[in-house]
Amino acid sequence: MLRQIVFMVVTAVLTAQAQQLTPKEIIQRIDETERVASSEAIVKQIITTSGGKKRTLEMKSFTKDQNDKQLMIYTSPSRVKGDKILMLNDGNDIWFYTPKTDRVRHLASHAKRQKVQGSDFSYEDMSSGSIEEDYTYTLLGEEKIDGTSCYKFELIPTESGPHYSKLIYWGDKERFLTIQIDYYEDGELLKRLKCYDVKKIDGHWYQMKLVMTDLQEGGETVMETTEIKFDIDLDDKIFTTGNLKRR
Amino acid sequence: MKRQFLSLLLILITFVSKASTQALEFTGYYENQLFPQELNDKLILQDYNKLRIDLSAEIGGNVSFNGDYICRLFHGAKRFNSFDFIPENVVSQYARESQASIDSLRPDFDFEYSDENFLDNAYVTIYSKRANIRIGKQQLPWGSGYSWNPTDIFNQKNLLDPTYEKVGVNAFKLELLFGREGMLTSIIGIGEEWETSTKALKVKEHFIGFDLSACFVEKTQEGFDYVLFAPSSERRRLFGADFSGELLGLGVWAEGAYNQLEDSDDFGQYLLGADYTFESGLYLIGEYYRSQLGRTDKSEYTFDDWMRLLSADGENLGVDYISSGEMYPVTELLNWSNYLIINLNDKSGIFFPWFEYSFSDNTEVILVGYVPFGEDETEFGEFGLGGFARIRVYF
Repeated sequence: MLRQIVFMVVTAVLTAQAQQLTPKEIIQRIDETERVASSEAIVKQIITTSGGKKRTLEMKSFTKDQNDKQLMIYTSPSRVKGDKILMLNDGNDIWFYTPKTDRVRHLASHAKRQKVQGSDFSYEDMSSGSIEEDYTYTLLGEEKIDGTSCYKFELIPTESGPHYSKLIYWGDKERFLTIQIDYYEDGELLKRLKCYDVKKIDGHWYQMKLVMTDLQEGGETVMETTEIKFDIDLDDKIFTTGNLKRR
Repeated sequence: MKRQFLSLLLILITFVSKASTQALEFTGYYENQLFPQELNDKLILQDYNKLRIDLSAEIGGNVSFNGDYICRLFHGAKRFNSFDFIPENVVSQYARESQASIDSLRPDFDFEYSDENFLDNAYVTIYSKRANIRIGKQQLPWGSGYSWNPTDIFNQKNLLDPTYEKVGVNAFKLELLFGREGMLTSIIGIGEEWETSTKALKVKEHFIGFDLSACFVEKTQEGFDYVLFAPSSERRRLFGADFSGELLGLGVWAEGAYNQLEDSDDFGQYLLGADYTFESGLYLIGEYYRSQLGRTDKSEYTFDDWMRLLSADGENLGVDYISSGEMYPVTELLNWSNYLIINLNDKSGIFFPWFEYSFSDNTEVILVGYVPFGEDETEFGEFGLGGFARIRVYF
């Protein structure tokens, strides 16, 4: 009997150790979950300024090739309707188009620091690169965020990564999704991204609501996905500068 | 005007009936701009109300129609005289060459801002996998530069408001797409006859992070001989190139054009620019511009040079210029920019602070001040203080 109990305990321990993922495996699983083959979404962005004023924008968003190609088309309000942002090569190439002048502008990578249409998301925040390629990472442990068990990482951007000095990252242990990111610059906490309303759509887990809070100035931007489809057939042609002028 | 309005109505009725199941969209904006300007020691005020209505419709899967109708009504000071903007000695010299008195010549140089009603940017676009065709009055953005575009002979650009929309150009445009980002553009700008129509060819490609393009444009350059007081024209051929990309973390661009003229001297115009965004959000931009059409000494500026500056051509007087600007998001809704343009030859320039405020989702307010500096008879030294206040409401 004792031998059986010892055998069961040893088996359980060995099984648990075999199931424990390495930090690299965790990061790879997160990248696999969040960088999908393709997607098409309708997104509403509600910007609340530090003074309490609200601005609402709506857009259609398309991604392909694990977010290597991204296209955003603003549909509302009239002031920005028809404006388009094309990001290729993981956000390293950005073009902005406005129908007001029918002009396509090629933005240099420093422009990625700029806020997109006045929101708390910068171009580089929106360009969902690969954690494995854009950061060196250290697993700090595990923590619960709003009741969700998470892996906690420290991410230090590499040369291909964003301009922040450090990110503290929480990823859902079960679904390998971003739950929270704290963005730091020179030791100061600048802003916080929190993800809510996780749903499974077309076989993919997805956070339907993102909230970026500017912890220094006090503003906040909520991005709500009202509709999303995954693994759809998107023509490469829509992710070209030649297609940007198409109304 | 009645005929234009009826034509617009007819177009609207036709498209509403045909496109009613194809989502004909109406958008646009109302704009009011107040323009105070110091002139002859007086503060002159001009104001306009502008209504722009944009129409767009998808006609079938690969065809779209777009059109803008613009109505602009001017108030306040509408009538000016070019002589008031040109140095006295230059006007006197012109009068001597014309063998007439300044007072007798003056009325010929009156110009007036008249109310406008016109159909702008009315065009049809046909899309296919490898080619797009656009026919009608359309925007023809050309060149990478911000304040100047040496390769652009389609549009008039306001140096003090370079991103404002341009009036459309009647043209037939064909774009052939090749590779991933390559594009060959061919444009025919409709003139009275084939010989005098503008023809342009541009090839563009994206290579190692840079957008590169080369172009050739041939047009009949309209001018005016102020001594003979008669219009003139000559053939102009432009060979141009431009690129935009990134170098050492800076955004960089360059644009150059060599112009061959049938009767006048050939000239080149070149531009080099760079920009950068700091982590704080502060944005800096700078350009250097060189125009061989200009003069290095203010004493050499002729009456024709000044009239060309004031007219649709908008060519600057000097040879070497720098422009610089900075933009900072003061709050989430307020951007504060400062721009400076300097004529390096006559050492005159203009400083203009620029405030842009988002009043609501569809309302923006812009306040700009013009502070020129320089000695008398210099390009910017002749102008007084000014600016504009603009409100625009989108619908």
